[in-house]
Amino acid sequence: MNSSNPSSKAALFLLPAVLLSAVVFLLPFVWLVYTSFKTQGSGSLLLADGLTLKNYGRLLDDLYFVQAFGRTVWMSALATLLCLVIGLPVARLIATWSGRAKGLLLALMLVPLVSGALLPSLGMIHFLGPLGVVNGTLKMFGLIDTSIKFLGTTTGVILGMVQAFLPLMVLPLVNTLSRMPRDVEAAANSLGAAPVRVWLRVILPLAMPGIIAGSVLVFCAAFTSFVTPQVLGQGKIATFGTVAYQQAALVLDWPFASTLAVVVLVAIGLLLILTAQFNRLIARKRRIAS
Amino acid sequence: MSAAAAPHLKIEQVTKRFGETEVLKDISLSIPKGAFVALLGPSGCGKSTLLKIIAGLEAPSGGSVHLGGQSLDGVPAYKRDIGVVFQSYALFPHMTVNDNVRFGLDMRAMPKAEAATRVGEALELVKLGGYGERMPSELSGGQQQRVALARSLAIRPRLLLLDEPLSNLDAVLRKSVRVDIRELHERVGATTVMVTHDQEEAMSMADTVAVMAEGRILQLGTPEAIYERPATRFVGGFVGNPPASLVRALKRFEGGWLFGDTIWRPEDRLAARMDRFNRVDLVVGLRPERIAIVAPDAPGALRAEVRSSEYLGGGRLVHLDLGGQKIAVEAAGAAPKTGTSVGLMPDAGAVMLFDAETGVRLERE
Ligand SMILES: Nc1ncnc2c1ncn2[C@@H]1O[C@H](COP(=O)(O)OP(=O)(O)O)[C@@H](O)[C@H]1O
Ligand SMILES: [Mg+2]
Repeated sequence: MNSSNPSSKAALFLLPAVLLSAVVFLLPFVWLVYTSFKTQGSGSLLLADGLTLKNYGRLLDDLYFVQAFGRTVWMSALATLLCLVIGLPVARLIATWSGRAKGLLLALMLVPLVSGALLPSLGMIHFLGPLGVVNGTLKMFGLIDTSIKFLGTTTGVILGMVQAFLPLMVLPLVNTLSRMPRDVEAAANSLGAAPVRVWLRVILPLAMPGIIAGSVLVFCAAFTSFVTPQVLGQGKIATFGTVAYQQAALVLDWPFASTLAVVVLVAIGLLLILTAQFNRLIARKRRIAS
Repeated sequence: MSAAAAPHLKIEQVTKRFGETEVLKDISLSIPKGAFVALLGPSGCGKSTLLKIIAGLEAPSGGSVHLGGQSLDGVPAYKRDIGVVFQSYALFPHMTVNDNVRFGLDMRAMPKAEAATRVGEALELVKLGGYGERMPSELSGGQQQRVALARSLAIRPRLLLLDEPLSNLDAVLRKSVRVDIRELHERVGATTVMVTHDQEEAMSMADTVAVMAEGRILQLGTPEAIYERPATRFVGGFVGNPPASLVRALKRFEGGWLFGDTIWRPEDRLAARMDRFNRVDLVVGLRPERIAIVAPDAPGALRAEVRSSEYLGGGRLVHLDLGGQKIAVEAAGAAPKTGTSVGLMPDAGAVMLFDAETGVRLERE
């Protein structure tokens, strides 16, 4: 037996994977950051010489972009909140099921995630359209006379986001809710807590890691989404995704599109770091050895 | 239990089905105020289910539960004032010990100062004063269990339910916690129902034991009564440490009983008892500590062959073959050699006779 550290040997085996990740993920990012400090030469798609902050200045100056960012933030936040409100009972139901039914339901939840954003969004058009299921149902019960306009409105886009990203909320929630310590709810119940209080004092605090993870996932996915706002917003709702697409694919201003991307990536990075810190704080408060 | 005193907890004809399987079959049980009752039975016999039905955490399929004269029918668990200590303790991992114990008081909107006093008292009671600021994960299993006890006692419950309270503790701790819980009961006086599969626990802690098997209560009585006069062969073979040996005897002639290929002629008084029932076969219950090892040809002795023996500190438990059936005997002194024939002389007064078909005890005082 030689005495070399087994973990350093393992690291050696991991080296190719690490290098590949660096090439695939890190290099494009570095390139993105680099381009964001460039401008295009006049009348060409090539990058001009010299580094500049011009793109960042433009982003702050132009109200159109600032507003698009702000709109995307609150729409994503609202979509996240709706996903949480819908996702909690759904996840709870799945978590209390066992065996085959649970696996099947989880697999079903994954379908919209793996089928890409386009098909569900097209489905939502029929669902939310003037003659769609929602309007039809509301009219049938006499709740409205004229169709509610969902398509081309922020409401429609938010509903589309909820539909598209709900699984990102449900999956982590199911995970934490399934690992709830045994009998704590029954214990709270027997100590005098009615169901609502059991939720507030026991289930929600214990599900916090899942709530945070799900919220971050849904928020990031909603914020960076393109297909959903494009299809359901029908070009009338400018979000970060549609704006970045316009700049990159229609205006062909790559440096500015890069700037948009860098700002969002940095914002998401900060959000993730904050979340990690928050999780650490909770863990320390509970003093659960990791 | 005097007939005049109304029972504190009254369980009447409770049944419970999960789908097709009937887990509880017609359970009736009355418990006076201040009693310490143990539900004793092998695992899977429905003890925890019965406890959950009492606590309101599970609905019975039939029957009723009354507490303090009131029906608990339709009363949700959170309105019952019944303290439950779960097998897993079920402490809230995100709360300090203080907050855990205070939980039930918060639910009752008790003023802060009063609640703080009550929490302190409860923790003192279980000898955990000074541990209030710890998190449950920083406590040992025994300490966690005491927090769970304090949490249940802090609400001054009308009834305290303990589900296998000692099963997650190591053997040494188990013995001392047994005494602690009993002493706590003497001091607090809360009516207590404890569930356990360990007959030693039930017999040493409770003042009344209900032996359960397959969803029924087989016998209810003091530990002494259950040990001395088991109602069925199941109870006889379940209680006692080690439990009684149950051997089947076939009548060969007046005063002569056959165990496999061994004829036994018990001494006259015992022979008369065994003949009294006019049975061709009986199940004989023999307590290992009430049998003496004698010479193989001693009059009135059973002939058996030594199979093995285990050293138990104070003495030795010898396992023997009695005409193809197993029997155990407690013996002091040196281990008899494996394969040798010995005589077994049961203490006639401690021999229990059961109906071979129904398993019911034949002699009832
Ligand atoms: N929620 C349930 N659904 C179906 N079967 C159950 C449920 N709870 C308990 N059982 C069954 O009822 C029987 C008794 O369980 P339990 O009361 O926990 O037994 P004990 O506590 O005596 O070990 C077991 O066979 C168990 O599998
Ligand atoms: Mg049990």
